[in-house]
Amino acid sequence: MTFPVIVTLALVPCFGAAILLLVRRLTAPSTVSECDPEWLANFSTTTYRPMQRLLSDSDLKYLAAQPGITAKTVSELRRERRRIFRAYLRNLVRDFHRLHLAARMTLLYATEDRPDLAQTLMRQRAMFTWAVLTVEFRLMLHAAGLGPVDVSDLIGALENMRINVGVMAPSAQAASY
Amino acid sequence: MPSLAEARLAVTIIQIVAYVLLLSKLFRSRLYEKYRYFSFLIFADAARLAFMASLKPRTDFYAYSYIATGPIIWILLVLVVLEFFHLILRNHIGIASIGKKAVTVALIVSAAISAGTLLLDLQRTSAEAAVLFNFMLLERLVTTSLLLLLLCLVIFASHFPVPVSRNIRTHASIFAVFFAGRTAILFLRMWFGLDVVAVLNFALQSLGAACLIAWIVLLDPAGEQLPAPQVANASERRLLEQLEAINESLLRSARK
Repeated sequence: MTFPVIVTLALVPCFGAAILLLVRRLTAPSTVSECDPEWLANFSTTTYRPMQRLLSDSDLKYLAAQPGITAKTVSELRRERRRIFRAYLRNLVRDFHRLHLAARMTLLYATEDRPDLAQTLMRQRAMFTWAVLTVEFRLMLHAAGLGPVDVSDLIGALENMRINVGVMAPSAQAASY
Repeated sequence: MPSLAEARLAVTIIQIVAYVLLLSKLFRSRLYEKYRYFSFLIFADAARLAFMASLKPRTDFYAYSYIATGPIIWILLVLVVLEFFHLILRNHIGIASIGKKAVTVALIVSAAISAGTLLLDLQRTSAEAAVLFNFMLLERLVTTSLLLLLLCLVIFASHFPVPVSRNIRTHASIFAVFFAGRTAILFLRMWFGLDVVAVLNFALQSLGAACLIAWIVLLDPAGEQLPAPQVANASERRLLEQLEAINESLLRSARK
């Protein structure tokens, strides 16, 4: 058996199998269970309010000024807060995707062509992705001891999505502002 | 052990039988009404194979016939992929416009990426068989573009996520494997040169035969049913009502 034949026998089935798996996964029947109406009705961005303060400098400056607090303690606290912040961030991203999925499903079953809505959704997705990337970059800087992490754009993008989805109760809406 | 020529003859016979069986299945089950371009493709490919098999190989007429009939198959392959996408989106008016845009973007992206891969091939020009080399190059370009186009369209459909019938899923899977296998083999054929053309052509034919058998076995009228309706209980009915309210909200927001 020559080298080209061996390469062909090894490469072609692997490539074909990889593409097959990808297509099977992408075309797998979807579920709407993620768009639970109870969840949509009760969702509020207030859950993510603590993020705005978690990595701000004011708490750490106050702590560092206290007697007996070493730089090591402050550093450990910063690290711990970053860990909590990341957990919040994961949940926030997940919630945005749930809201976005609900909106996409609505568009999918719309009875008339809605290119304007499709564009709005794409724009919101792009803005949210950009906001997440910015926060991730600022988190890296924070780990290096440089500056606080501002999440207002990120929470703003989530809030815009929530408003567009239009599921928030008036009382919760008042509470979030 | 049979020689390569004997093995090719056997695969050619299997392919012709498979084409006949698949066409008869498409017509008997009336699936040809839905998969028109696919049926045309199978018919044209079968006719081409039978015609080429009747010619004496390694003659100028054989080469010209092969080169002249190739583009017909390529055009039909493009139409089959577009037909596949049309079948996915035909019940979803809400994303009709964005679907059309997606096709345009997918065509441009797939052609651009595929053209980019030519840079690898153009370093390996063959002066002694320039026409054959260029034809093989073009064939690989078209196949790579089709693979990328199919993947782009499947990604778009899964993004929303559009429910698809078992037949469409089977169709997409077999075509993806077909294009992926052909792309890999044609790339290797370009890479290793004309010395291994016979062996790799045999691999191409075997892949084609395997895909035909898969289509015969897996495509059937029962597979046209969409997945079970999602509105199965009160909670889900409520969800759809909620989604309709969301729809209105989104529309209001977009009009502002």
